Amino acid sequence: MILGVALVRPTPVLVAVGDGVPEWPVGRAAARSARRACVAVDLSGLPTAPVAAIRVGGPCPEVLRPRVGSGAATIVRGGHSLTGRALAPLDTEAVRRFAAGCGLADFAVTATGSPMLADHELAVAAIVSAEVPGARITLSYEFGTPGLREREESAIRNAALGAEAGRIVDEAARELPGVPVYFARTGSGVVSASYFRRYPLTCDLGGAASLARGRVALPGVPHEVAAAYGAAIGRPEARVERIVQARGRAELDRVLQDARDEALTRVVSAGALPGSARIAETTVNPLSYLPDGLYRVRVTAEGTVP
Amino acid sequence: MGGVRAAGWEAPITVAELVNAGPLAGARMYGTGEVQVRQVRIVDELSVLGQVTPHTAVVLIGAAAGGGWAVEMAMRRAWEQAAACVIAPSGGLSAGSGEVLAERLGITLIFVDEDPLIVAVRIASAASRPEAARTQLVARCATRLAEAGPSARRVLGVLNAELPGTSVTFLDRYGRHVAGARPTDRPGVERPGQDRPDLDRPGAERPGQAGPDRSGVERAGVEEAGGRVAVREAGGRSLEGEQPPLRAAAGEPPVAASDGATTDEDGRSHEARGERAAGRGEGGASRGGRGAGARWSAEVEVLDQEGGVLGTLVAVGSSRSPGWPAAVRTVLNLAVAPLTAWAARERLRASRDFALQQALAERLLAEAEAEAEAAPGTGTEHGTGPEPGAGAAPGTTAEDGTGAETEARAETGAGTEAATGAEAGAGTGAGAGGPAKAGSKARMEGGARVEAVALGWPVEGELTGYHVRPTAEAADSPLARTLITAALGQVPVLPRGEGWAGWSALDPGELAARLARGVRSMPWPCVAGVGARVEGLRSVGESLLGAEAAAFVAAPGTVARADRMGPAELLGALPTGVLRTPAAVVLRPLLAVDKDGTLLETLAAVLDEGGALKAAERLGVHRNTVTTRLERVKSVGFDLDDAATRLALQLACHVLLR
Amino acid sequence: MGRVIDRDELGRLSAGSRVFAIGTEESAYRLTLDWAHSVIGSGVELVTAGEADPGTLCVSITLVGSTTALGEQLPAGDEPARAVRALERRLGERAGAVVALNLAAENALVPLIAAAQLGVPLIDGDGTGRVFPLVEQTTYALGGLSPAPLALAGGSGELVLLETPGDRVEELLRPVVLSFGGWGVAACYPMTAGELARVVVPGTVSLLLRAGAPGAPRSAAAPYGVRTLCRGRILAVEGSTGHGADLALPSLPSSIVVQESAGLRRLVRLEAHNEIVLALADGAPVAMAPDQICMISTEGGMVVDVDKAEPGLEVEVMVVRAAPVWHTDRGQALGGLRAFGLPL
Repeated sequence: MILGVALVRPTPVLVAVGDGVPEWPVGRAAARSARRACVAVDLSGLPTAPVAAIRVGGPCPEVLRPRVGSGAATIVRGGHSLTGRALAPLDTEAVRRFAAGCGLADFAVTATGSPMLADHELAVAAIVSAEVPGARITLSYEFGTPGLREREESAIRNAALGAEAGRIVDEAARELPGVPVYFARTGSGVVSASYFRRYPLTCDLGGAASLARGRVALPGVPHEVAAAYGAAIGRPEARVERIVQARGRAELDRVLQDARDEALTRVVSAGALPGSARIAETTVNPLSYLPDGLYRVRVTAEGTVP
Repeated sequence: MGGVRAAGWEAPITVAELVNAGPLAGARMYGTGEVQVRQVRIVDELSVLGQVTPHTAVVLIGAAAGGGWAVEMAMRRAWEQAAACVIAPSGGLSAGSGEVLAERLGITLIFVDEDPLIVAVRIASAASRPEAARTQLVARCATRLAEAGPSARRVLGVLNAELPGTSVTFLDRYGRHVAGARPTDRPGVERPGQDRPDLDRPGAERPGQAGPDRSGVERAGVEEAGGRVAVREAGGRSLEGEQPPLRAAAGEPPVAASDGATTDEDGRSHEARGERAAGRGEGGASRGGRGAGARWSAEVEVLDQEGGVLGTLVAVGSSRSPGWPAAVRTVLNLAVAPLTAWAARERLRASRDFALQQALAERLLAEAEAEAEAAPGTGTEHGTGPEPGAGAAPGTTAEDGTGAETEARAETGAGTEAATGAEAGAGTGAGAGGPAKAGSKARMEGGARVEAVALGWPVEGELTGYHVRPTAEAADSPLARTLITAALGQVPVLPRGEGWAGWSALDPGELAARLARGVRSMPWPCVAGVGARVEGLRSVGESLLGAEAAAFVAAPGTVARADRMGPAELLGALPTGVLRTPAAVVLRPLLAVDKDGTLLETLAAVLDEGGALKAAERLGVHRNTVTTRLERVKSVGFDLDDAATRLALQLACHVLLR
Repeated sequence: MGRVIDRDELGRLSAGSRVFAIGTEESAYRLTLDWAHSVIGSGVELVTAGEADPGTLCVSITLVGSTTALGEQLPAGDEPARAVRALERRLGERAGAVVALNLAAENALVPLIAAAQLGVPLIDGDGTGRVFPLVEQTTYALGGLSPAPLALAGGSGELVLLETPGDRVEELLRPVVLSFGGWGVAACYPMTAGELARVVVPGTVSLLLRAGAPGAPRSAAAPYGVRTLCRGRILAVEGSTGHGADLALPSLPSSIVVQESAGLRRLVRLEAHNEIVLALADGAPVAMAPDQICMISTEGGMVVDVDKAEPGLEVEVMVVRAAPVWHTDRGQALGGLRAFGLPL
């Protein structure tokens, strides 16, 4: 039996799914005997933590600076152009100063050009870890999308949700001891609790996505039941998006293989059985008005749960 | 046989013919390929297409082949110019969209892997002399028919094997199947899931060509991407999206139709273009299946020796090549003589009483063949349908394949023939073989062999077949048998065609010598042949074949030996009456300039002697004279360096000069 | 006198500028719009070329290079002004107005930002009436004017002044842009307002303001007419995009095959070289450059870029007629099919 959970106020709605057939309500004992639980939750409206945002790049108009609400933000020199050239050496001292002085534990790091080359984000993460023990650090390249501001926004939001995501995971573990818990992704699929804890943003609209799926499968049931059911029928899924440079077919094949390997690794960390992980889709688009050999690569991997 | 050459014989070769059996063999073709090819144009830029004349095979190279858009535009412009087809190098355009557009426009698109320039040269060669290309086919059929001899089954086997894309059946005068493709196998009878004519004929798929399976995969791909590909009328569109009238004058058919979409928006079904179906009056049955051409059929009546109707040869196919049915009809006419002979022989056989010995000899041969067939790896074919006029008399010779199941034949008159594929010599239908084998085994033990031994007939060891054939009407078979056994000793004497055959333990030389005496003693003009020496009864059929063939080429009153028979003798066996017209067609360009026959004589000499020097000796002229004459021959378009051309010319010369 | 483009009008202009714009990177578009909002203040004056003093120096402003790069490597903010100032220094004269090279998405906004930063009016018109990929493909060039001298300002403070025969500008500009990191802001085609009045495609800014108004029909953004070529489904994308495991090496140019969904069910091939330059229906050319051919998503109503085209996508293929000057012989030579390397 798989437990679908719609995490709604005031009390979560539980649906037991056996052989695709939903049953509800579900008693606590029955819930704890579930093979796994899949949680549908929308993160909008949840409490967010103040975030320390570090952008690596050049100066910009005020309106284009990082937006962090109640947190703190800085722009430090560094980053790469999409052609792979270092715009400036990373200002490690500025990173250190900011990390030590911001007084925050949730960091979002966004470097110019990181979908192409993430070196500076990784370097910033190392400095921050050293300065702020226990810091939760989100690196924007994990979200991959080109467009510095959008990626930064994702990183900041992911960082802001980290604490609350951890709380949800902990609570689920308390309620359902021994039951592996998964969370519905925005779009399609589910991810493991640990993956959710690290990348809650991938589940930002997991409740809405589950509801949409559930309503197709079970028309006429209450929304919460549909959402719980929709979550229960998801499979682990993970995506990787990169900008790659490849001269010729052989090199492209190699960098694509790298991206696929990363997607396969991610879907396993998202809860898929290692043997079940497979590439669902690979999309490659050349980038216009840039040197030949620059491509946007999107890889989706999926798998099954134990 | 003045009517041999049907209308359309000289019609330009079609795209489909090029791909089916011509210089484009192995290419991927999309579209029906029904348009005639009269010339080739190599196109390296699209603007040139405006100058392309109708019936041109357009070969795209360079910029004109550079990418899908270029190929598609070329297809469009080629269609506007009523070109025959567009030939593009592989890889420029995805097969899916190329196929769809080919169907929409009704213009054939061919992808070639080879250098397009080389392809172009080959097409040009075939297009410039289509009649030569077809004559080659006819000459080949003539040779094979001569080899086949007067056997309905073998004649039909030759026809079905040599006429690709065509299904030939011999029906008796009541319309019953005698030999050849089974009526149920005749194209035109639709079977579910089969909409490609190739499926009807095993062996019709060509390497490299998109076969049914592959096509299915490609279609699936297209449908997956774009849903149902309902292809409809492809009208011309102006830039403003208006639809100009169909180009009826050019006769472009709204050919293409895909699954479930066989009518265009006007509700017209996609039938063949009228000129083709009606133009030859052959009543081709049309159908709307995708990629299927209109069915044409060609029929030739076979008369018996008394002039009565024996039956009809029916050929059906789906090619819309206007030249092809004509070629087929010519070949069918070639088959009339052997079929007439076959019937006459069967009747003779029925009318004579050779009593026990004949039946015994027949049984021996039949059982030997059945035994041979039961042995693995022997592919001798078994069984025919009912034979008109054969009546109660069983088939008597092993090589006619009647074999042991004589009762079955007489009673059921059907069912023993192998599947259509077997007609092409592909093997024996298992259904026909099984019971016959069982029966023959029992009989073999039963006593035919014992009887034969009692009669003093050789049944083991080295055997040699013989064949005696009267060249005028022979009335008295018992007398013939008496005279033959007088000359050869105790041997079986079987009625065989118009003559008699059997086998002896004598070696071919001694047998020929004795047979020569026997022939001279006959009250009728006769010829005879001696086969090769073989081991045992199982192989004697082969020797008999050789003997028969040898007799066929023997000069009157003489004995020919199959083991000594060469090309000259084989040439002499050609049915010259039948081949005279096609020969004249082949040689027409030469005859037109050859007022006194010198060139023809010289050409024949050169081809026969294998060189100008010997030819000069034979003709008693100087070598330079021969060379000069040959130059004239070449100047009218004969490529004497081409082996196929040489063969066709040699045959044609032989026929005309004999 | 002219009108003022204020914050409200800016919203309309940006909406109108996207109706037929291809190659728009959402990120770049949004940051440009935010940037414009931040500098527009009380608004930018919009005047026709004829309204300006004929002797006024007008400078064309355009973004050059990759919008993907712009979205990734943000502007410092001073690029438009820096480029114009550099040109002014070279010419020894102050610019009295700026004008757009074209009005597609970001390129409609960057001249506005320049005008706001410099405090000069924006001319109502542009140099293409549509978008062409090359700086030289303008009605200005058709009118005999040179893009050079041209000043290019980059996001990391770079500044390059090109002074070269007009037909070599693109060749020199491209590597410079790449070395900048993929994008830059160019100030070019310096000319008097009198000259501009002769060569500009007039009134196109006003047109986009109207087209960007809520409820305006799509055709309002096409000054010389627009027609629908077909509605259909993308059947295949050849050349540029690979899907699934069996990946074809992507390369430009690419080709998109659309099967018409209804009616004649024609097979429409869209040949693209960064943008769609030729449309064939059943092999017959039905639209080509200099007219602009674009795919509009049936579902979202947005322009579908060539590199976003995927099999199965439902699209409407539209043809925006280019300004008449593009249909002259000289216009064809500069912006017609051959300019895109298609030997037709």
